[in-house]
Amino acid sequence: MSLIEIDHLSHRFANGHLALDRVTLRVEEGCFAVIVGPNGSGKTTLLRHLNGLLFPSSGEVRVAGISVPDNPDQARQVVGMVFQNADGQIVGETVIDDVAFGPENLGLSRMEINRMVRQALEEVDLVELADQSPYALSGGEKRRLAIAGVMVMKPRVVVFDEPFSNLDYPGIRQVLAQIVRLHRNGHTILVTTHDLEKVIAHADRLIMMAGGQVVRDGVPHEVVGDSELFGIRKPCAFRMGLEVESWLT
Amino acid sequence: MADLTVFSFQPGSSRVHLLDARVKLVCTALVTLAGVAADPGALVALSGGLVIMMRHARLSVKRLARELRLILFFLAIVLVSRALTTPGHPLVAVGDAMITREGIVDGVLICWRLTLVIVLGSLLTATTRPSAIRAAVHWFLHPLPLISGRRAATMMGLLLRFIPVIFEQAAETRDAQRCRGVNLRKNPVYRLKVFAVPMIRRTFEHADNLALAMAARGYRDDRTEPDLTVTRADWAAFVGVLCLCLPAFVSI
Repeated sequence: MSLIEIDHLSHRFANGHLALDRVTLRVEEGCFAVIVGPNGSGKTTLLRHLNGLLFPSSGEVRVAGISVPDNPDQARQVVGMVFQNADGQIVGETVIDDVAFGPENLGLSRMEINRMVRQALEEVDLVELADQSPYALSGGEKRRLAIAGVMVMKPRVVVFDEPFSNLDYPGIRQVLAQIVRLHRNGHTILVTTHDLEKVIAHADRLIMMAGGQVVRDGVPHEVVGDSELFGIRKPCAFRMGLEVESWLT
Repeated sequence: MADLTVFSFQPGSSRVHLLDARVKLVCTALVTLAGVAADPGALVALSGGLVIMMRHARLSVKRLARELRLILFFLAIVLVSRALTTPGHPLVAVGDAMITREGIVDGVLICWRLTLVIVLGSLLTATTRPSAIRAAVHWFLHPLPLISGRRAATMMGLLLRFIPVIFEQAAETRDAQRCRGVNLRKNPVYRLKVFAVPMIRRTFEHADNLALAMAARGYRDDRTEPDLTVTRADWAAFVGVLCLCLPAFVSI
């Protein structure tokens, strides 16, 4: 059984726009998949079905065998989501309050919550800023805070929606290092982007979307050659026939 | 990076910071009521006490004064309307209306009281974690029937969280409109309209995104609340504030 099972998923918004059109996908545990596509291709809509923020118009979505529409609360403990806009994800007035939000929702004891929060802050190297207001953080720090807020829930899958948008080079490296570390620790990673350059070196699967459909799916170096057919710029190394280098080196 | 406002929580280890949120809420209510009832002498005592607490909590009085300039317009309206509508000894004639000495005194007192309440609110929010305020509100509301204490407390927590966001969005919207020459338009109604519409739209969009983020992180009403503990220091602070407010209550 795959960790994520999506069968014939379609989603039509209230205004009639068909955002996803019969998408079928399997994602195995431990996979690092990049979902790439131009704006409006359905990437974010697809991710939002994985933890029950959207429900299918038709089709099925299961994570770890759990039907997401039937059990969204359980699905949210399996799949954590880091949003494109980190500011919009921040709920707490201080860094520590924000990370504690998820465990508080699980009804855990205060001692247990404090332990989990401390561990999550250590993982993203934000312990020193625990009492800061999230609004005083830099873009990269805010994105790491969003990751801590998800990691504290111990999800098996972490999905990142455009994690590098609006970040400077050091911020991109910080966030990428976190994503790679999570993958090394055994998490299944899904990253959406319209800029392959930054993350392709670490992915073991590339899924291309266009018009709400999966149009290519495979090992990155085998399918990346078609990216420009679907409005995605081919990474520089592939253009020049060079070996792909990580942004972390 | 967003500018922080004086209404945001500012971490610290002062005695004001360490007081129990429930005690701080009760003290805030007491001082507010006392401020409403106070004569000028009692107002001086309350204001002095407030300034001492702010300095002890290492909050910048200067910065607070700078940010409060946003409400000066509102206070000016209050002052002028009281000065023009309160009967008494006439000082200056403005058309058919008359500015009176009693009106000015009355207006100044009301503005002073309003400022006191606003500064008091900022002292509370700047020295108390929003999660503790939320837990305290829930503690006070949970015995009441027909009111969901947890929901009311969550709404209050989110309101506090939104204040700096709204300030930041207002500043961004204002700057963007200045760049496009809104200052050249003299009609205040037009300027208010073009400012308010995008501001409200962005605030609602932000609220939608926040609701999604909360759902994604498994929000539910019966969450674990912060631990609240009343110590001797809390009781001492309560008695101190009560003594400070007594002259105002006695003067009623």
